[in-house]
Amino acid sequence: MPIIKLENIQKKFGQNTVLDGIDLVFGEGEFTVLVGPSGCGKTTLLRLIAGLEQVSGGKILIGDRDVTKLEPRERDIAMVFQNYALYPHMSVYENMGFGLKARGVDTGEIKRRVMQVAEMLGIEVLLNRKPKELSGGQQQRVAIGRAVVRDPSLFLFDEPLSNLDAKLRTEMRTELLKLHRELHATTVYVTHDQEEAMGMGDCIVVLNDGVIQQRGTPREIYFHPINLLVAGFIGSPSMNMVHGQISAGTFTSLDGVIVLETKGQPDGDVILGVRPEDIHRPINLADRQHGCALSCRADVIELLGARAIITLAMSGTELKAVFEERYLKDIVEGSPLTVVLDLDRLHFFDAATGQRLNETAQGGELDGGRGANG
Amino acid sequence: MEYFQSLRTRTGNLFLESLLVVALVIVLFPFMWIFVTSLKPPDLVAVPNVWIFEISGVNWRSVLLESNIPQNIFNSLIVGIVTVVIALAVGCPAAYSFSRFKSTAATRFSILAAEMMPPAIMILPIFLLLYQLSLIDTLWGVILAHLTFVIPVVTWFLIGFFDEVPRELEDQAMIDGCTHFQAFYKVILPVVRPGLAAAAIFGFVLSWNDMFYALILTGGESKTLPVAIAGFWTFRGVEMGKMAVAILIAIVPVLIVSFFVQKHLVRGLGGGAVKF
Repeated sequence: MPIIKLENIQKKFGQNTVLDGIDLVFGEGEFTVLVGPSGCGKTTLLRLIAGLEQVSGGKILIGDRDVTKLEPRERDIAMVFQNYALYPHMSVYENMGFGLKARGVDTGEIKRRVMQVAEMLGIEVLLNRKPKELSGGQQQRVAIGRAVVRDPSLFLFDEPLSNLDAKLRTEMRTELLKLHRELHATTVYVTHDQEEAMGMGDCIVVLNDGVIQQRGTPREIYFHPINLLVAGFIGSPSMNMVHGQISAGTFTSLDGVIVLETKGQPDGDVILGVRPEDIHRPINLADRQHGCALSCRADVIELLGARAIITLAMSGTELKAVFEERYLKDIVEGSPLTVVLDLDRLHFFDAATGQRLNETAQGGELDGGRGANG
Repeated sequence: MEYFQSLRTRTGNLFLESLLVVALVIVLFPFMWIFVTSLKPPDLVAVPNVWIFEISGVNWRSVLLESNIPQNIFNSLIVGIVTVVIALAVGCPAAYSFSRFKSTAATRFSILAAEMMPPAIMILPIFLLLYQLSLIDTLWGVILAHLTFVIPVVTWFLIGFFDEVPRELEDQAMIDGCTHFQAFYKVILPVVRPGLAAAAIFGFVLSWNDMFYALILTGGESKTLPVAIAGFWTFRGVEMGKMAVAILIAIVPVLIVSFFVQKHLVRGLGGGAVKF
């Protein structure tokens, strides 16, 4: 599997710049997830790599080959589309063998490879069926099988799970990961679902407005978001953002409710970012001393099963926290309670530019077990 | 209260059903009349109040065995089939282009502009052109004339079908190793097969039913069926029985085939404007 390089990729539709100066390298066997809000240019980037759109500037290299001007069929890539794009007039077998047939592979070899991949994906019994006779999950498998059977240099996935229901999506996510571990194929995967991105990618690229906001491992992206956009996009529920000011090493929120010591942050207008899981219920004094204690009211409790999202109301500020259900037994909606913000995990962003100001103390490491909510 | 509501619904339904029956009678009566006429002995045709008569095969025998109608049917078939084949060969790529590449509603509608004009405007240039090419009173002359209205209609008809094919199918085919044209004929065309069949039938019916162009452009051996049907109106009077037989031969096959593809016909007539 060769390395794929994108060099200063530009894409314009008329006067509208969709992608601007994209430089990326997809390492050998790496699973890269392109993530970002709708219209950020991630699908366009995938289509440029596939050759379905022509770049307005820049180069695309697969290994040492410059494929920028090549037709899709000459690039040796496979792609799985959101709607699977199975040929409705062909059987599953014909769908899977179509790419090989178009490339002049002999019938015996096509049969051997299709059977091998069908067995790997557990779809042998479906080979004679037409796509309309398959469920969404089965269609998905066939689409993946069609890509795998060609043994390409690069796999492209364009939101392949978004048409499936939640349960099937989780199953298919695991299966895709297993398949990736087995094939060790270089993969670029587009999604707007940040959970999918976090769960699947070796590497995540966050795009917005046609520009790469951040590229890193899921941990780097989650624990060290480089700007407000990445911080707000990655994580569910989203990071809490509190506008305030730092003066003489002390952060004070605009409404004066949150006051906490910072570690060497310069004075100025900032936005404090707190992940919902970094707000704890203090169970002992040590917790209170380690963090910044706040008195608030449980406004809304959304029980998700083992966890719950609590909307905490202070005078002018609202924060979302995620607590384990077992720590909620004494709380009902409207209950007053004290919570603690984990000072080691706070994020500060420049209010004007949105850029990150601080290093997190944990450096992206999880310290499981601290605090009462886990 | 419920009783009155149900009464109102039932009365409404009864009214609607009555309207439907009236509409059906209006539409079907001429067919029935033609059918009955075709079976009447020639001397009873002009007596409309005679419903009870001895069924006669004289008209059928005369038309099928003693007239030129079989030759005219053959001419109409040749004209219709060749027109449709050429119209599909031209209309398919045109419709695909209208569907896939940027086209506004106005440009799409412009395909039908020729259809908006009365055929009388077109016939003079067509006649002169065919005269120069020595194609008057030939089947090729009629075919070329028919293509002027069948191609735009077939193109319009197919746009909607191509619009419904997801672009990802041809993207996938190109990634799988096809050129754009291969993706078109190996993947897209088979997918729109029902539309092609319906467009073919619709184009064929237009050609099959045309009398205006055929009447002016043909005369002798190249006469098509509608022209021949009109030929039963002679100086000695209208040969109603024979005409009825020829009319039945002209319409029944078309009606039967149209019945089986009616869903696709309605969809195609919308030209992509109506989704079913």
